[in-house]
Amino acid sequence: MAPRFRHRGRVTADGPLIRVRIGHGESVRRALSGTGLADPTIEVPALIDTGAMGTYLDGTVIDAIGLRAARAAFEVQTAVGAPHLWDAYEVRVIFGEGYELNVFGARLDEYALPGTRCILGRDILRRRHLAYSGRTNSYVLELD
Amino acid sequence: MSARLAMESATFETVKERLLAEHRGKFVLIHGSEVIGVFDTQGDALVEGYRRFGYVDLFTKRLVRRERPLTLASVPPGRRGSKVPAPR
Repeated sequence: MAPRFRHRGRVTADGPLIRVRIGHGESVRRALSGTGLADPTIEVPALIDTGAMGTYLDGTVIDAIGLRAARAAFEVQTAVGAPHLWDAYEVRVIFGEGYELNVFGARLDEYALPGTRCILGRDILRRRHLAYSGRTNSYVLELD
Repeated sequence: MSARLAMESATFETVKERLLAEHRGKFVLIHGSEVIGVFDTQGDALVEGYRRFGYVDLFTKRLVRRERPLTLASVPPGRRGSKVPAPR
């Protein structure tokens, strides 16, 4: 069966990047539909990161959309130091022409990779398949 | 973490053991110092919270003994998020 979303991209000096749009999560749209809630989406470059268990968002993206924290208790273990709590937000990650995933993403305020404002981790990659070709320095992302 | 969410996290710690005994695996919704309810899914908890309070910061958390930390191996030293000690 063909995947619902398929993308082939080059692996840049910053890693495998993909442009996605970020918007409000499903819960607030469900709760406040018809109330005039502004529902903007913002297009950002995102890093596909197999070393990340979850999704992470730059604080500027969160503030620009006007997201509210939905879960304060994301405990995150980075490469150094002890786990600590990060604010988290329910968001829609929109791929291509409208393939959407609803996920919870942690806020990255003091962390920025060149060229990206979002990290897509294994919470998204587990949806199907990520393949890397060293010969062509490219990747294929498939999602269901 | 905002002051409100810090308060809600503290509220959670005070009720965690009681709720764990009765509702393990479900999701608690807290607003300020008030426990609003326990729900089957996090989405249900958020919808209830947004309907009651509008689109504001909310505290929801799964009722488990110990939450497994998310790993983010690629964050370099000195580039971490807001440093709030995890409850023990």
